[in-house]
Formats: sequence, structure tokens, C-alpha cells
Amino acid sequence: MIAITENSLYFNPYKNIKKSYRVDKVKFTNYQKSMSKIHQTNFIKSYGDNLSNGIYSIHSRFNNVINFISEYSLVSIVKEEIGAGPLNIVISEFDRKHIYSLTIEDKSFILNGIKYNIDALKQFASTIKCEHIIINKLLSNLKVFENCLQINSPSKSLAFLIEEKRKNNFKTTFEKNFAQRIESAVSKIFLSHFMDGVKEIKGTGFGFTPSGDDFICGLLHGMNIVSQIFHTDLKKLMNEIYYAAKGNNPISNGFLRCAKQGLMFEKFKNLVFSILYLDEKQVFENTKKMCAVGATSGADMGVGFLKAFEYFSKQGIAI
Amino acid sequence: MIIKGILKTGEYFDSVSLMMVSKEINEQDGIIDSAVVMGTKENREILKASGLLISEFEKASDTDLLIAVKAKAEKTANNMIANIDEFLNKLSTEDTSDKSFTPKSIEGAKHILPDANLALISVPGKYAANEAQKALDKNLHVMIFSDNVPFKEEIALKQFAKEKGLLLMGPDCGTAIINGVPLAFANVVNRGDIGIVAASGTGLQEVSCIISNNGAGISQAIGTGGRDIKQEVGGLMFVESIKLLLDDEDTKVILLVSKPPHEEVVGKIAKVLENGKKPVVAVFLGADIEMIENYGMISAETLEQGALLALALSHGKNIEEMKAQIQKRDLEIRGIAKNEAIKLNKNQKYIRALFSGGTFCGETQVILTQDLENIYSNVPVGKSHRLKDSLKSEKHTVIDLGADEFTVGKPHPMIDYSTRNKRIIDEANDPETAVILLDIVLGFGSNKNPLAEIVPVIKEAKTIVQNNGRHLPIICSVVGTDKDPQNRSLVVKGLEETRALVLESNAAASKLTSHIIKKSK
Repeated sequence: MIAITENSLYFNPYKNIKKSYRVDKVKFTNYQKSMSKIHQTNFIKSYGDNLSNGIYSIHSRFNNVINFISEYSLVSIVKEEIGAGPLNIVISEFDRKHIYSLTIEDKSFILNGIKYNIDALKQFASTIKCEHIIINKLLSNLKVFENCLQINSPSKSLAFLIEEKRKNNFKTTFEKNFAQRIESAVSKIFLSHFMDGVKEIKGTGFGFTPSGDDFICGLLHGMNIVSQIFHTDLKKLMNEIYYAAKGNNPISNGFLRCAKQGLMFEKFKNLVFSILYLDEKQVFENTKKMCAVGATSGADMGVGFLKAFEYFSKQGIAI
Repeated sequence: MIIKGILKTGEYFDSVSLMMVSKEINEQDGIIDSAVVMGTKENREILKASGLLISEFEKASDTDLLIAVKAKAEKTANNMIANIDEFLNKLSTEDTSDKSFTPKSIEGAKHILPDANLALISVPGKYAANEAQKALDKNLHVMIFSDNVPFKEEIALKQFAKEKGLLLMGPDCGTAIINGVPLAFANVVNRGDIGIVAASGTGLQEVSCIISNNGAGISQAIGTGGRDIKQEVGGLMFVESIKLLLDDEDTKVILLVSKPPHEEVVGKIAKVLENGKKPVVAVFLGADIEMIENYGMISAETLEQGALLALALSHGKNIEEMKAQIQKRDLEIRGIAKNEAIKLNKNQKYIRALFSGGTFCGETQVILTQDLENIYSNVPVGKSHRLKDSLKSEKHTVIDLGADEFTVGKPHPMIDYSTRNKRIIDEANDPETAVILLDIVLGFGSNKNPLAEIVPVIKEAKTIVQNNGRHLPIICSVVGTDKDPQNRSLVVKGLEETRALVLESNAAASKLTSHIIKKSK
């Protein structure tokens, strides 16, 4: 029997019968079949490898994405054209008005009250292992990537950081000041004043996930790949950057956390994979696709990734 | 030149939309400059540097939309701000048809969620029946959170629901868990094979949490509202819910929770169970145990015992072994009681139990009246006496702070601790108080940070008695799970740090309280 002390009366005399328990399906039979519906599992195309258990509520609805948040985590229900991701559940027949509830459990998730056993579904693996990298090929692909970013990036993206003349696209006073602030912040980052730079760039820009946050995501992804290739431990710095960048936007925070952990969205993973292992044509194609993500998000992330790669690979093992 | 701006709280847009709006604004005659951005601190700094920051923007958050325009003339700027919704609507990520996402009616809600099959109704009582009827007409199951619905209307609604094969939970139904979805005041519990029917809100919370915390889970937890088991309503939904669980493939064990149902209702329950093949545990607090067992149900005296017997059945264990374990634990509680009792002085004679959960108020009275006399309550049960004044304790006092006299114009005590906090201090100042007994109810709907509310008060009460040379045991039970937003383990730890005695259940806490008084005599 468990001893009871004055200061510890929170005991459990039944623990000898504890065992984990689970049911795999929800059925509320006979009485009213409308209480539960059985959906075909091919409705779910894939689910991410970093979904956290919890009861989620809707944070925001866009045309192709519905963001759900719990106290600590983010999950996005997305159309197939958005693609898989560590925090995504990709579904066919996406009808954003009629998706309203989500619960994630150990082996299943419940979407709109319907339980899906994940064993029957395809999991998206969001990480990349860097093995047997041919450095010359990598450098050549990075050059292709940079050229392609210059060609395909939207006008108001951060591609002006790799092509000066693009700054002319920033016309209003806000836009000009924004570009100036980004330049200042990025130069601080790459003069090794990381935290000052990150604090200056985070939260800046248009849209729900600001350009500055997208750039930091790209930066963290770049650092992760460099640290794998050069066997350099950048974890501490990546952690510091993550905490400096974290704000009050749970969507940005979710993306930043993934970036810190090296968890990539499908289109970005395809791009990085092609830079590491494939030919120029594939790099070009995947960069084009990445530049089409959001208004500027894909390009902003790409610029952050490229800049991190340039800087940290030059620092090499000394970092 | 004039600068005007508007802050749209909680309106989010993707960058494509914002850039298009910005472009369109800049193309208007008379506009010199503009910015349409989310309200992050950093964007506000850039707005300031751009001369576009207005004072209203200073309070913006990351998820607010800021629109600033610089125009040649005030009229142009005003027109632009006045017409901004038109631009946003045109380019919004939300369809205009989606704007009614917070519906104003059942029809509106049904329009947005055509597949929904359950409506939760929380409106002033006099309107609740009407809304419930509309929902039933649309073939929706209904949970009525509202109270003060007339008996007659409750009966009519339930009869109508029964005919249509729908559930009508409530009125005054505070909690339910349907297909894993917690409704109203409910906890995050494991899924499993124990189905619950309860005419008792906190009772349902207590049993579902005990079951979950001990490794089993809930298939469905259906609330019926406290009056369903009265003669007038005749157990209409209690009985239908039992039928539902008997037919449910995922339910292996059924647990019933309520005050003693009217004899006729018990008869109806027994009839439904006649051909049922599932074990049924009944916690009818204060009811005649023999009568329950004669009807083929397994009786439990407390919520804790009911939950644990259902859990034992779910796990294929012997319920007598479980009863023996509880008895053994109760013996240890007596040991603790003895240690506490010897620290009391001879003037400290009485229990002051202050509950936010009405069912606990009843359960504690049932436990205390087994061994003690002179139990007073604002909601007396069995042998207890009615308090003359709910605000003033008499002898052993057990208070339901959720009763009408405490909640008119105030949030429920599970949310707002202020009334109870004041009462704790009053009781600590009373030299006759021997024990203070409390419940802390966690979960959705309850106070999000209970420790911030209760810990300072417990410390203050401890200081008061210490300064007067007394010892005052403060005994708590915490209803909830570690998956709840408040995290039960953290709350328990926080309470223990104040030297409060935290027990696993209200029944255990009440037994400890009762033993302390008995040992002190």
C-alpha cells in the first residue's frame, strides 16, 4: 500500500490496475446514426510527423488552409495543392466552411467528430538527412537556386537582399522603411550580432506570417542543413534565435519551431533535397514552386536559407 | 495633408490580400501614402518611422489589422477609411457568406455547419425552451446549459425529443462528453468503454476524471439535467440515454450518477436494464442500496467508489477486490485524521465545507451524516438541516456556492473564486472552525488559473490561525486531469506547497474531514 504522509496525500491506491486503454473507432450505434459518420480514409491524403496531441480550436481560415491551435501547438488542415508538412493534415474535398473541430490523439485524430486511425494513413516525413554530399555539386546548385530566386521571386519579397535593384519595387514610405529595416537587420545578423538582427527583422512585413519571420525560418533551416553537412553544432545558436524570434502569432511560432527542429514543408523539402542531391533542372523547377508559396513567403524563406548557407558554410567548422 | 487610420481587431488576412488592398488604396485619387499591415510591434515601429502611426495603433496586437492612409485632404482620408470594409470584403480571404460565422440563430448556425447534429443552448432560461424546440425541429440533438426552464416546458421538449429519437440534455446540464468532444464544463479524459449517464454535473466530471486518471476511459458521458430523475419528468432522458449506451458497441460498462431518483424512475430504469447484458454501476447518492441491488445494479456509495467499480469491471477485475482496496485506503485516512485531530484545540469543533460543485455538497452531506449530527446546508440532503442564512455558518456547515443566492449577477464559483475566498477567511477567523473542506474543479469553462486565486487565500487563512495559536487543516480535492488546460498535477503540487491536504476525490476528502472531527471529540 502506498504510504500517506502529511505533505503528500495525493496518492493513488489503484495504480496496480492501471493500464493504458484505447478504442480505435467511434461508434454511437443504432439509436441515432447521425451521431457518427464513417468516412472513407482516402479523404485524408497525409498527415504530418509532428502533430501534437490535444483538443484544437480554429484560429484562422483561408481559402486553402485552416489553422487550428491548441494551447501549445498548431495544426493546419490544407488542400492538396498546398502540400504536406510536419503540422499539416492534407485532405481532398477541402471545404473550408465545413471544417470546424479537430482533436489529435496518440493513434488517431478526430476531424469534425469523425475519428481516423492514423495506422491506415500516410505519414509525411518532414526531415532530410544530409549524407554523401558532393560539395562542388552543392555549390553549383546553390548558384542555380540564387539565380532562380532572382528570376522568380515576387516583387515585394526579400529577394532584394540578393539583387539590389529589386529595392525599387518598394515604393510607399512604409515599404521603403521596411526594406531599410530588413537590410539593417540582416547585416547585423551576418556581422554575428545575431540576436540584435533577429529582433529587428522578426514581425516585420505584410500578411499574417510576416516576411521577417519567413526569413528567420529559412535562416534556421539553412543552419540545420549546414550543421549536418559540416558536423557543426549550431543548436544553441538556433535555440537562441528561435526564442528571440518567437512572438504572439501562433502560426509564425509554429513555423519557427519546425524550422528550429529541421522539420520542412513538402515544397521546401523538395527544394532542399534537389539542391543537395539533384540536378540544376530540378533545382530550378522546385525553386519556382517555392516562390509561388504565399505572396512572398516562399521566396522570403528561400532568401533566408540561401543567406544562412552562404554565411555559415563559410564559417565552417570554426562556428 | 492628413493621416487617418483604422484598427481592425482580430481580423487576419494573408499577404496577397493585404498587398492588393494596399495597391488599390494607393491608386485612389488624393491618396499620398498608405500602409496595410498586421499590427506587430515591429510593423508599428516601421509605421512610426514612416509617419503613419496614429495613437489608436499603439494598443494593437500581432493579429490586428492596421490600415493607415495619408491624404491631401481630410475628406479623402475619411472617405477612404469609411470605405475600407468594401476593399477588404472584396479581397478578403473569407467569403462574405462566411461573415456570419458567429451565428445569431439556430438557423444561422445550421447554415454555417449543415452537418452539425447537436446544438448547445446557453441563453436566458425563459428563451431556452424556444431555441431548443427550433433545434429539435431541425433534427439536432440538444444540450441546454441554461437553467430556469419551467418544468412543463422541459417535459414537453423531452417527450418531443424522445419521439424523434433525439437526445435532449438538460435544462441546467453543465457537462457532457459526446463522441470525445467535451461540452460546456468538462474535462479532457481518455476515451474508453465506460458509458456514463448523469443527472449531476460535477458528479459526471468527478467520475469521468477518476476513471481517466486511473487508466480507463469514457465512451460517452451524457448529462440529463438534475430534474430528469424527478417524478414529474419521469426519467425521460435518463432512461433513453441508458438505452443508447446499451446499444452502443463501444460501451462495455454503464455508470449511472445522480441523487436518488424517484421510485417510479428507478422502476423504469430497472425495466430497461432487464434484458441488458452490460454491467451497470449506480451511484444514487444517499439512496437505499438494497433497493438498487434488488434491481440488478451494482450500487456504489460515493462517486469515487462508483468510478472505481466501473473501472474494475472495464478491466475485468473483481469488484470486491476494489472495494477492499478502498476500505484499506480509508483506514490510512483514519491515521492521518488522528494526527490532525490532536493539533486542534477544544474550541475547534466544526466543519466548514465550501463547494463550487453542487454534487459535492450533496455527497459530503451523505458522508458526514453517517457519523455526525448537526449538519447544516443551504441545499440540505437527507438528515441535514437547512441553514437560516446561507451567508452565516452554523455548526457543521456544507455550502453549495453555485446555488442561486450566491450566483445572481455573478459568474459561477468554478470561474469566479471571490465569494468563496472571502468565506474561507471568515471561517478561518471563526475560533470554532476545525476543518475547511474545498473542491477545486478544473477543465474547460472553469477558472484558467485556480492557483493564482486560491493559494494566497489559503496562505492568509493559515497565517490567521497561526497568529491565534490554532492549527487549521484545509482539505481539498481537485477534479480534473493532467490533460486539462490547468493541468491537475500542477494544481495539486501548488496546493500541497501551501500545506493543504489534497486528496484523490471528494469522497476521500470528506471522509478525512469526518474522521478528524470524530477523533477530536
